[in-house]
Amino acid sequence: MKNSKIDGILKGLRGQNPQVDHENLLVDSIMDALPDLDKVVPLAAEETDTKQEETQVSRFIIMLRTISSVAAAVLIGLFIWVSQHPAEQEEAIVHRQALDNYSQSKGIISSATSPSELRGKYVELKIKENRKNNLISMYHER
Amino acid sequence: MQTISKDIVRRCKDGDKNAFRMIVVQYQRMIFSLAIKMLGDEEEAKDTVQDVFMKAWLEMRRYDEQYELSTWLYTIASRVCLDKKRKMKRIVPLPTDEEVLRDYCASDMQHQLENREWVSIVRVIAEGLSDKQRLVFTLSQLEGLKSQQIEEITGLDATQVKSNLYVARKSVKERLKKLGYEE
Repeated sequence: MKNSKIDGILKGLRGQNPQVDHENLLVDSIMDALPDLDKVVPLAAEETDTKQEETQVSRFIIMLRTISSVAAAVLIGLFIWVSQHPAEQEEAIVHRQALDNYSQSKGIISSATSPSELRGKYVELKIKENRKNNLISMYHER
Repeated sequence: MQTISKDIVRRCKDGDKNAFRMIVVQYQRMIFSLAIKMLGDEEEAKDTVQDVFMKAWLEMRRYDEQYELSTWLYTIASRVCLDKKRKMKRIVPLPTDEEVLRDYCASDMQHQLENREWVSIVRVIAEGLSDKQRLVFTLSQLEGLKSQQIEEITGLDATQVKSNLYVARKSVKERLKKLGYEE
């Protein structure tokens, strides 16, 4: 396959490398900046130890935060459940009694169990009865 | 390129700065070459050479002699370059950079490029490559390293090297085509 112009460009670039200007100056500046290893190693080890300690402390703090937020969520949930539950039950009992009374008087049996279902059933029957009473009174008026 | 003997490496591990000077003299051009092609900035490239040898000096005791010293230094240099690249603002090639490439292609493509010409050319051809693609492209196409060595330097597997190189080459070729160079 014939080599393309683009391949030629890339090949040309591959054949050469940039040169460092003032190589010796660069080498000297690097060498001047190098610390003595025997002085660096203990410092590096100390730094690593400190970093590890910091990591452990931050992990512990994150764990504490997680536990406290979970505990707070559970407490709030419990509080809401406790505060709502009796009221819900009381409401259910009231509606059940009202519906039972009404059903007994009308000879109807309801299968509703939850407070909302009971409330709904009761209201529905009441509306039906009101509508019936209205029709009866209209009939009498005529 | 002369190889650094195991004795010199051992002396460096023992903290001998004179031995390390030999490594710096030997490999500074190699690191500078990668840095200028990766970063497209001569001053940043010089800083990178310093950073790389400083890291190499501090990490010398961890250097595993079963790997080539050049591979190990390339690995450090690649990480430093990628780190600098992330912090640098994106450099958009200017029309003057394109002119430098045009002049180079119009010539016999044999003359020794100056550093400022290198900066312009890599700015033009590597525009739009991701950092990883640019690193693989530079190591393979501009530095002429083999796939095995690129895998060791970058930590990528053979498939990843191949796919990054494929995408990079395609992108570079499309870019050069847009600039009017024939495929």
